[in-house]
Amino acid sequence: MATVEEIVRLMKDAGIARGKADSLAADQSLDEQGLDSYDRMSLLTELEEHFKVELPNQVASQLKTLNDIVNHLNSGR
Amino acid sequence: MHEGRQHARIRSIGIHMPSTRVSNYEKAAKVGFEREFLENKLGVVARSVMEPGETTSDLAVRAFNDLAERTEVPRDEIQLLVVVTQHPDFKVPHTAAIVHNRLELAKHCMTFDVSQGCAGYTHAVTIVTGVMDAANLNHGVLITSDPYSDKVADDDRDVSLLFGDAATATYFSRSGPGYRLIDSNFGTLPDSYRCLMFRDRLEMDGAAVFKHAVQEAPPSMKELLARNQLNVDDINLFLLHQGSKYLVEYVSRKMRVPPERAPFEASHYGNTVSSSIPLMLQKHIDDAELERIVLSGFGVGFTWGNNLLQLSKG
Repeated sequence: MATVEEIVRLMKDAGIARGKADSLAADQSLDEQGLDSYDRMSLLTELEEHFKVELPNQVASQLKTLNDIVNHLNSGR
Repeated sequence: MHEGRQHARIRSIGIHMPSTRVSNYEKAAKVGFEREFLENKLGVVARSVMEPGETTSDLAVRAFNDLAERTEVPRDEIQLLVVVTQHPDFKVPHTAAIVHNRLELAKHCMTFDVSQGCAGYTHAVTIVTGVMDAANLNHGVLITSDPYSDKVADDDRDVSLLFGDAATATYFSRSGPGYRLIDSNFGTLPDSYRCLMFRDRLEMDGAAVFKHAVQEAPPSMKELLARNQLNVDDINLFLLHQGSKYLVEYVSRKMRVPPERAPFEASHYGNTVSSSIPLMLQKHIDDAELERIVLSGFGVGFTWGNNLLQLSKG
């Protein structure tokens, strides 16, 4: 099961959203919390590698919050 | 190769960097990029821009002239001239023939262009070395010249802040100190060519390019090192294509290479496509102290190429 904590740890290990990762709210838009396009691109890449999933653009664009990501990964889609 | 003959090696590199710089700060604000993003993610605060009306061959000739000032190039003995570009002066003839004419090189010189983008230098180093060794050529010149400043739409936030103009000229010969190509590897990702296209202007799917680069470049470099019984710590310097500051830092982090051994140097001129790697390599050629250097280019295609270079003292 993917968890918010696991994703935050993944971000910190990969140097994504430095200084922000620990304080991200799970139910708020990542964009609104200051993640930029490079943060999002690298987060998606790390998620694909770590969870062995594909996240094409049409899926990735729907993953706006950490909760969205966790729910998608755990849904097995 | 004739028995006993030495392999071709990189002897010297000349560069042409246009003196005109255009600051990115104003444009970044206009397209909605914050200063922090411009400086620390994109990493390009100013772009080098060629003069209006200048052509690919103009920049190429200037780079060669710089090379000739830096080192003694036996112009009459050059037997191979290769130009890496995807923006030739004309569709026909190849730009290398035009540059050959403008430099008044000799009749016995083979000329051709290599159509490659950001991985172009790594492809061409392998091609030039292979052709020189196979055809017993003693002197060759490899030029990169792919100006983009007049190819991008001014209001395109994906590309208008990124690219700069420059050209380089690399001299190869079979003797003297320089860097010899030990091994190379390459790849082309299936069904990915749309990520960077030029139709009436340059179009880039930045997310796709980023993803392909971080997924393909590190494992391919590691594979090159492993098959030569080397690890990251055996390499003095990694020169990565300067796609953006964040991309260089991210790829080097995945390689576990410290930033000082995988620098980002394009902050005041931009992504110069196939010239990005030789612009950096030039600084290490004349004093030639580093034992091993890895070059890694990735981009248009989506393709990638890596070169393992080793210092050769004579």
